[in-house]
Amino acid sequence: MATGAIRIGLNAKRARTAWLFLAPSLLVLFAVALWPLGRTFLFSFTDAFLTEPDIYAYIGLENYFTLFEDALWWQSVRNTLYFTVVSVSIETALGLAIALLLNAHMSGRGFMRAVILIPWSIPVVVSARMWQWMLHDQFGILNHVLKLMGVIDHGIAWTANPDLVMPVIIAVDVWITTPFMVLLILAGLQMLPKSIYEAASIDGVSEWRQFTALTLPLLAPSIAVAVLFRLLDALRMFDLSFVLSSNSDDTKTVSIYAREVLVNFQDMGVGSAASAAIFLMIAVVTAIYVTVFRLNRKLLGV
Amino acid sequence: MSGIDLINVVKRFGALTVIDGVDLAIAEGEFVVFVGPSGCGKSTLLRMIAGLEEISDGELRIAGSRMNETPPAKRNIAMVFQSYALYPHMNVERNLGFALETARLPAAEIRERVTKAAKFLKIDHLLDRRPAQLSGGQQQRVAIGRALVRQQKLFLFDEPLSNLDADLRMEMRVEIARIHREVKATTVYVTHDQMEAMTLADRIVVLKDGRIAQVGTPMELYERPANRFVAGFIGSPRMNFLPGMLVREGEESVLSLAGGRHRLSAHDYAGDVSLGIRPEDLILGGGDATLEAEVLLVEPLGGESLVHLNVGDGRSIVAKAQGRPEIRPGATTVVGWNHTRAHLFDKDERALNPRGA
Ligand SMILES: Nc1ncnc2c1ncn2[C@@H]1O[C@H](COP(=O)(O)OP(=O)(O)OP(=O)(O)O)[C@@H](O)[C@H]1O
Ligand SMILES: [Mg+2]
Repeated sequence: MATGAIRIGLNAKRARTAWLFLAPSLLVLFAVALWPLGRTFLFSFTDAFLTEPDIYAYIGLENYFTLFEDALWWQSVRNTLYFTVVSVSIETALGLAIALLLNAHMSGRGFMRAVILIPWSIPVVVSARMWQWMLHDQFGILNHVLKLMGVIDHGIAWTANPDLVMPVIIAVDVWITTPFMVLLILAGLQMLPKSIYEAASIDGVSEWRQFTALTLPLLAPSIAVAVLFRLLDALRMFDLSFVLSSNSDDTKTVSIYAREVLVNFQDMGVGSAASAAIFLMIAVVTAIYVTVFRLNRKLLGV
Repeated sequence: MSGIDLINVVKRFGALTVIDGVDLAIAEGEFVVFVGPSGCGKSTLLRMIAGLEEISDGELRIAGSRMNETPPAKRNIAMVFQSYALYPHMNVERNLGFALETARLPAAEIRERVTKAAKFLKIDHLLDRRPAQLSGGQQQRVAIGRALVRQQKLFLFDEPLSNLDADLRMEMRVEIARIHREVKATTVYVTHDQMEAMTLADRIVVLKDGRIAQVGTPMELYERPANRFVAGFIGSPRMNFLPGMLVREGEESVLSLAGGRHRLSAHDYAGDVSLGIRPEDLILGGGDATLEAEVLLVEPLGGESLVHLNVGDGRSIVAKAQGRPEIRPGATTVVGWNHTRAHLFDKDERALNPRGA
């Protein structure tokens, strides 16, 4: 009894200290995240305009009806989900492959690890501009090289062709963010105990089965976290699409849509409704993802 | 068929030579134990046999064929790792069965072998747990079980019992001996524990700094250590050493110690020596040769006692006595030994034998 009481006392004290240390950051978080978020939700139920944000009336769910009746909104939702699924899948597969390669013992891997980070370290807008130039239909290096090689004879309008622009944006995103995946997965790989691979190799377990039965399940938590980060990032993608193809409806993401309504049309009500919808969409996707992953882990016994 | 031959085997890590020319022939079905101080290369040598460390020089043969380039999986061995190396995401049952699963054995057979091994190792109530939910000793038993179920011709153990308590350790030692009697698999076993080495081994290999200091049956090593290192390493408490000088006098040799001169049969060697006598060979109050000694401390161990004695020059030796001798610290006594139980080592620490012996 007595020790139990002491332990509870200790834990409570620890918890109090923890809250004390957390308080400042919670305050800041509230000021810069929760407050604006709350305001956004509030405005989504009003008819406010950006020109005079102080004068508004509550109009219930009307903004949401407007939003959900707009075909362009649904297209941007589709674009965003398509971009997210395709780019994150490619980045995960590629990131895993490169991480495995880098984890193998080969000379110069320290150098490779540093080099591979370069695309990630460049600001996205800069990368996007750079790619825009490289992809330019007349002066771009890509078309130039393809022409030299005789693959094409006219420059391809990479970012103007509606069939090409989404694949191009996905390709550039893969170029930019695969290093991030590599790094997170590599960190996970290096935490795996070496000795289990020795045991497996003595027990006659093939390299492929070592990969599927040992590496993948043990790496799953690392991959899951990396994918979650990328998922959240991709769902609110803005800059790449905005720079490479700002006006195309084929690559309009929900973030671009929200900005358009808010800034171009000055409609704070519908803009806020769009922002709130984006927030909910990301929350739902995250919740589904985390739940599915938890269930999976339970099933696999990982 | 599955003997192991090590022929002048060398292991270098960069400039560091860790195994420095080891020659050893292990017969089929033999139980060989590697002992030696920490860092002497026991694990490295074992890992070279397993194929986990490349062999820098020399040759390894298993069942007569060269194995230097053969991958571990093709050497038909089962190994228990010093660090257990259990699969952290699998429960005990899958850990035990994983290799069999990989070898595509029928499920019924896998279950039978796993159940048998688990019962035998007293881990059958833990089959659903994952390694992180086991104690060190339980993990170690799972590791042994994982090697057992594979039923290979060659067993490698790297300190498999080091984390068990005394009772369990003795029990497992007996079990390992029993398994070996039944399965007759060639076994190489690394340990720090003298008792394990003495009781399990057909032959013991004493390693020092990557070389073999001596190979022999447990009794050979105990009775006739080839050098001072082996003499000190085998036996517990360790052998007492006293410095002395050996000179020839006609048909005899004379050993001069700090406490007196002793006539011995003729040795070819003359010069500085150390005299080695095991604690259990020292006799309080008698013997062929005797020394005056002051009692420092008496440690009763139950059936016997360790008596720490000062024999002058601040040198202390330990004698093992039956029961509880009636002497008190501070008292003076006489301690002696029989010449047949004494060991002499020359200044290069090699064992000396009388001429003709
Ligand atoms: N990968 C390595 N690189 C460099 N040196 C190593 C490596 N592995 C082992 N060594 C060195 O080789 C020597 C022998 O190591 P080993 O692990 O075989 O010792 P051991 O006899 O098993 O010791 P212990 O009883 O403590 O387990 C040690 O000095 C160790 O530092
Ligand atoms: Mg070792």
